[in-house]
Amino acid sequence: MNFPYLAALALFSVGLYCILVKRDLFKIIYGICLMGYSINLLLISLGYVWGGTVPIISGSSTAVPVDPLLQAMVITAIVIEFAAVALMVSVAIRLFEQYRSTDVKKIRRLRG
Amino acid sequence: MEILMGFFFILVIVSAVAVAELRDLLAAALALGACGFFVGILFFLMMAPDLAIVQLIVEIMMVVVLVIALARTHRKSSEPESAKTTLALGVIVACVFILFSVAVVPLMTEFGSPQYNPEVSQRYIDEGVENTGSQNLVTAVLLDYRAYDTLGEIVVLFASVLGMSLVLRKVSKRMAEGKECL
Repeated sequence: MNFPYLAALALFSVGLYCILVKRDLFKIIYGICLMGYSINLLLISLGYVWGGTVPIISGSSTAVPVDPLLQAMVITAIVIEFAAVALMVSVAIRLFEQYRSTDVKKIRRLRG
Repeated sequence: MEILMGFFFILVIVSAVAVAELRDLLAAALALGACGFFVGILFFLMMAPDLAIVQLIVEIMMVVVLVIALARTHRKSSEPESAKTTLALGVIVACVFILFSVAVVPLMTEFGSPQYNPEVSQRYIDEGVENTGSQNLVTAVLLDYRAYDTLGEIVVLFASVLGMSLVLRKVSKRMAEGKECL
């Protein structure tokens, strides 16, 4: 049963669809958030063990803890993702003040 | 436990679809908050309480930031791409999803039976308490084994704050009148 991987993949697809199809800057930012969630979920489900315990060693218990390395990495990823989203939102506010719109088709000076 | 996890995975995907399809940007931001909360609950179910706490706090902050941003801009989402383009891109994304779920997911290790790397994860579990003195292995990894990683994270946060203050600074009147702002 690999349903968590499939669910993470589905969440990633929804985020990708949101980025590709929507033309609103905020919708694109939401899509990037969704893709970040899916990657975090995938990493955590890769480290999960059936019947595993929280990775806190107390006394001399012999239970198997889940993978602590992936959890430490995902904490870093969550915080960095929030910083990136805050930066993107501030750029979106600036673009709105300049162009009175958040439609990427109307923000002409960013066109390649 | 398996059924509970499946239920919350479905809720995550439903709220993600709501984020993608709602036309009201404020409602979409709230749906994004709901999605993040369900992700936090899933972290908790997968035995990662530290992560669940961080995810909930970050999610609250994210919703606050988005609401402030929407208060300064507008609520109505602009028109999506035309129906034909939407259909084509949707079909492409669906094909990518099916391709990966058929070709890649069966190759991954079974859920719930990971192979620990004996050099890294297994060593942290076996020797973590002796080496660092911390009973919580996640903080042991964050603040001792991989402390430079955490330092880098803080540098990224600082750079982000610096960038925000640079982007959102008050523009002088001469710059605002000229065309070369931004």
